[in-house]
Amino acid sequence: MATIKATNDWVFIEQDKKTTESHGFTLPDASKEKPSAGIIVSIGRLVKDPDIKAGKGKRALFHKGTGFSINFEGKDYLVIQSGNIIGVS
Amino acid sequence: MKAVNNKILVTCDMKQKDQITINGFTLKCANSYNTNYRERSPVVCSRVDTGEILIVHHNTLYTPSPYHLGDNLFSIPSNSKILFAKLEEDLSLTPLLGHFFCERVEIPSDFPLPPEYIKHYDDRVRVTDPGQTRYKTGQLLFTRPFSYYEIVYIINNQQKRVIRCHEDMVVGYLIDK
Repeated sequence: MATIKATNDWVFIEQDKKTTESHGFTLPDASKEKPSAGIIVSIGRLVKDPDIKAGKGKRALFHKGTGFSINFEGKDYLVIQSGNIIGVS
Repeated sequence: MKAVNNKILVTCDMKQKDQITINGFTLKCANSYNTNYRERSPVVCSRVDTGEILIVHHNTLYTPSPYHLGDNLFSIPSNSKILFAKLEEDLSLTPLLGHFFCERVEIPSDFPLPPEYIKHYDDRVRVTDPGQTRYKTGQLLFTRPFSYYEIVYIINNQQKRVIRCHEDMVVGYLIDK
């Protein structure tokens, strides 16, 4: 089985999935709010921040609309530069 | 004269893409109407001091341009934005300055499709020539969307194409677990 390894200062994040909104309706993908949090899956070796460096498997908070998504083997990953992460819990 | 400030002096045949021969047929390029600059702009130049033949970006060798010195002489910066590859004696290309050659990856389809309907991923490539990078031939790399660039060049009246990408554009690769 192959997994993705990030390079340079990129971070791969598994996005939170939200199937229904708070009011109970299921919205089409285009109408959904873009996620701003997710689980860190892979961290590039040029990432400098020590908290992000040690953050594999932790939740990361980032600005909405940053980065781009990559679909691999049915999973959607958000790829963002480490500078766009605003917090790790 | 010796070039300084990381610049190199090159000469270029400005008419290299006026006429091309493909599979024995000689075609005249209609430059006035052809808006595809990648197909019509010269990209092959010869380094003055070493005689090496270089492949550069298609927006570099034109007149009037800030790089143009006169006649067919140009002074171009030696950086990865402009300089892509070097032509070897056997007419093969060697990628330079962190570039590597790759091929597009097809999006799999449940049905066999004719070539014009085959779609490719815009965010991943397969390495065909790693150059000086740490990647291996055949490796699947994830890149920033549309970061690869197809170079169209003409050698010995033959039009050739190669797809290049830069290692800075790579965001991830696969590892076996």
